[in-house]
This record gives sequence, structure tokens and C-alpha cells, in this order.
Amino acid sequence: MMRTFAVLCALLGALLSTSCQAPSAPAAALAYDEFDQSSLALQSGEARPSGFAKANRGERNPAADRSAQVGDPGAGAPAASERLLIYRGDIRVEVARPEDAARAFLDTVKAWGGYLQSQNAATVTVRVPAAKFEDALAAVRGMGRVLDESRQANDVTEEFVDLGIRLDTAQKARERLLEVLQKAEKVEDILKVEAELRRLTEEIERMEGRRKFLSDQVALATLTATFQAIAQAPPPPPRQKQRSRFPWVNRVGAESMMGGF
Amino acid sequence: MRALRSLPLVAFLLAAACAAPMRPPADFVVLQDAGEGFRAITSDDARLRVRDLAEPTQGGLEFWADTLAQDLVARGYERKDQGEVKNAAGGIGRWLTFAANVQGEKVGYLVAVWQVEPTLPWGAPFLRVAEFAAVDAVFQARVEAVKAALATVRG
Repeated sequence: MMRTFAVLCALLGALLSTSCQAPSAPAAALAYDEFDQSSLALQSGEARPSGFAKANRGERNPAADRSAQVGDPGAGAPAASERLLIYRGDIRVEVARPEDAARAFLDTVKAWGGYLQSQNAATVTVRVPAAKFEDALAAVRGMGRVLDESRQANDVTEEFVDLGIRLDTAQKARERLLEVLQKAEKVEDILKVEAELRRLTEEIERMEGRRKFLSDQVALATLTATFQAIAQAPPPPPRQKQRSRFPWVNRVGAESMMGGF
Repeated sequence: MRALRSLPLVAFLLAAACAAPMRPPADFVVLQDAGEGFRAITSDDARLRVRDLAEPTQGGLEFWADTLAQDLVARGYERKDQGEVKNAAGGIGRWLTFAANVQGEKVGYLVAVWQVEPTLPWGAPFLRVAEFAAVDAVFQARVEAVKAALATVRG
């Protein structure tokens, strides 16, 4: 009777600890299985400004420091002063030879440790180390005339920290359940504990996967570059025909060929 | 008797006069090869023409080719390329290519000129002018074949 009661208490405790964990106040609105597209809050007053603000002033973006910290999915939560930003950009440029320009850009991306994610003709989507995001944009800008450019930085710090806390709690709950399982004697109790263990394990795997995904997104920025051929201007319309003093010259020309042939 | 002796010459001259002014490249259909000159066309509307135009008593090939080029540029044509070409008789002519805007469409245009000495003693020199025109994409696809066919233009 007492053992059954203990098992039920352990189960209830595991349920409460994983489901009712109150996240930090600002991230309360975040669901860990939904990607929050909250916009970047520019950080005024910091000694080291955000990468986005720095980039706007033409300085190197310090995302390398943050990306290095989150490279290991098993790492603890980043320092409070560090923000985790996912950089995305789109740029369209006009160039003389789109295929050559795309190839040259890909070579540069590979030299930086990035890689090609997808390509469609002269539109390439690449992943570059976050520290090279501004350099990548500058490289494309330097290849031709910029027709269009946009970029965004999504702050996922809150979600990442929240995930870390939930993961830690879930792992501890699983350890406790394993201990309870060792002591359980009744089949009914064993089945209940095992069911809860399965649920917890799935939840832990889901959270680990999500954290790994966020780490990858922060470490490598995504840039889509479209290289467009320079539009060939048609030749200017013919000027008023100036009659030549030589009649035979006036009878020759593309107009008479394409007209009354 | 003298008349009989000149028969072969007359026959030769007649044959020369009746021969087609040129052999066009493959795919060209000849519309006319007498009277006002030679005209041929393709299914994608590439047009080829050879005419004998009145002739200048002064000047030479270089002068006439340059005069023609300058007049076409003055008309708004964009000059592209030029070169020498020999006709079937080995006579040296000059070809020039241009881009032109005809009724809002970009057109490629090639013109080749030879100064031809008269066949008959009492004749006068004249200019044999070959022209090739088509919308730009068709022009680019066919221009090399037309340049090669210029070697068949009667001299």
C-alpha cells in the first residue's frame, strides 16, 4: 500500500515538474515546439553592441562569440549578456555573368567554412558562419549592382534558455523515475512508470532536437543570393534618316529588308 | 563567219547572266533570282538579298564600304564587326554587320559590297550588294552560314 502510494507520488511529481515548470517571464509566451519570430531588440547602452547594429555601422559582427558558445548542444545556457541571434538575408544583384558570379561566391563561402544549401540556376542559398554574414553580403554587393537587399536577426535567447531549464528538469525527473522503477513490485505500477518514462524520454529527445536546431541556426547564418544578368538595352531607335548624296546607299538597309522585301 | 565565231562568247555571256547571283545556305528558299535581283528567305524569316546597284564612276571598294558604314551609323545603326570576303570569281569585297532597331525590334543586319568590273567592254563598273537581315536571335544563329555563302556570290 505504502509502496503503491510512493509510486503514485513519484509519478505525480514527475508530471508536475515537467509540465508545470514556469518559464522565465518574458518567454512565457513562447512554446518550445513553435519557432518564435520575435524581432531583434536592439541593445542600447551595452558596451558591446549587437551584431546587427554593429553591421549597420560597418563593423564586424560579434556573432562568432555567441555561435562558438552554442556549438555544443550539450552546453549550458549562454551568459546573460549574450544574445543568440539567427541571421537571415536575401540579396539580388545585377551582374554580367550570373553563373560565373554564383560559382565565385560559392567558392568564397566554402573557403569561409560554409556550404551550399540549395541552388536554382543563379540563385544560391548558402549557410555561412554567423561571423561571416556581413562579409558574405559585402562580397555579393561587390559583384554587381544591388537591386534588392533585406536581412533579419531573430532573437532566440529566451527560447534557448527555457529549453535548457526544461531539459535539465526532465532529465532529473527521468532519473527519479528510473529509481522508482527499480523499487516497483506490482505490474500495474511498473507499467505506469514505464509509460511515464517513455513520455519523458520522447519529450527530452524533442527538446534536445530543438536545441540542436537552434544552435545550428545561430552558428550558421542563411543567405540567399540571386545573380541576375544585366538587361541588354536595345539599340537606340533609328534617327531621322539622313539622305545620302549617293542614291544606291539610300536603297540599302535593314528597314527595306524587314519591310517590303 | 565572224558572227559564228562569237557564238561561244555570246553563249557564255548569256549563261553567266542567267546564273543565280549566289547559292544561299541550306534552309533558304529562293523567292526571286532575276529582274530586280536575288531574294531568299527561311521559315524563321531570315532574309537574304543580292542586287546590283548603280555604280559610281569614282571611288573604290574602300571608299564605298566606308561611305555605306557611315551612312548606316548616321541612321542609328550600331556597328558590330567587319571583314573581307571573296566572291566566286575571287573578287575581294567587304562585309559589315550592324544591330538596328526596326519598328521597336532588335534586328541583326549584314551587308557585303563588291565593286564589279563590267563584263562587256562598253559597260560600267557597278556595286554588287548582298544583304542579310533577321531578328537578332535568328541573325546570330545564321550569320556564319551566310558569311560562308558570300563566297558563292557571282563575281
